[in-house]
Amino acid sequence: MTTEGQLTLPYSTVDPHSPIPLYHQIYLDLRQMIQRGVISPGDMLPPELDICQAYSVGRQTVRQAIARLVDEDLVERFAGRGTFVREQPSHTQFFLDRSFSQQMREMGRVPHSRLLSQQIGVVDMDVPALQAYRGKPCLTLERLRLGDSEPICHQTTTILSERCAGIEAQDFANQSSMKRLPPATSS
Amino acid sequence: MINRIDHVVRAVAADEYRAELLEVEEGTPLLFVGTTTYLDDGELIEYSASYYRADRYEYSTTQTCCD
Repeated sequence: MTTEGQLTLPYSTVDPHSPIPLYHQIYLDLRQMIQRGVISPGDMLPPELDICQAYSVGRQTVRQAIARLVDEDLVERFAGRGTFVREQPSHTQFFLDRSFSQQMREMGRVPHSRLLSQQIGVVDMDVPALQAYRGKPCLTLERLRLGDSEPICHQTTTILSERCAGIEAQDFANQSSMKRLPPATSS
Repeated sequence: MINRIDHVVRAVAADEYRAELLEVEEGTPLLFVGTTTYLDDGELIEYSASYYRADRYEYSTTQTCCD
């Protein structure tokens, strides 16, 4: 990637008609390149003018995008020298709308589950959403979720058994519980 | 069919039990994610309380612009 300290980056095309502001699209594009390692820690970002040309946008827009990267500690500016990609902490994005197993696979990790307890009982937790269901039969699974061998999440799942006949007989130790539920409707 | 999944997110400190399970110090901030899953008829099918290690992961959600 590096030619005499200058990077030629695989810029994406930005869409001026998108409801997402241009600077934000550029910020996202650059951020993705940093997170994917296309631009490595220690690399200098191309000069502002090069980035302006690459996206066909004004200088102010690029400055805003870079300011955002600076705010998030992804890059660091040194007056007179340029803007450099910082050493990246090993944060990995999770998406709340994906199951733990999906998240792990997307991160390139093998999802594991250690079943800590499995109990048939009734709903008794003090959670607002469950108020109307107190006393209803349920299956409660307590699991430690791991990515490769690293513990990542302690999870207690309560499944209303009336709506999931036979759920008690399932083996949850190594399965995604989402798979056991009816598939989500497309939205 | 699953119709809707609600998420509640907040920060909590690891208690002794979770600290040991997740291999962090007691009191380490964890990310609590409460997930409530509803069926097409509006009835609740699953509630899940997840405590994630927040020291190496960040949590992200995307809202698509509709309507």
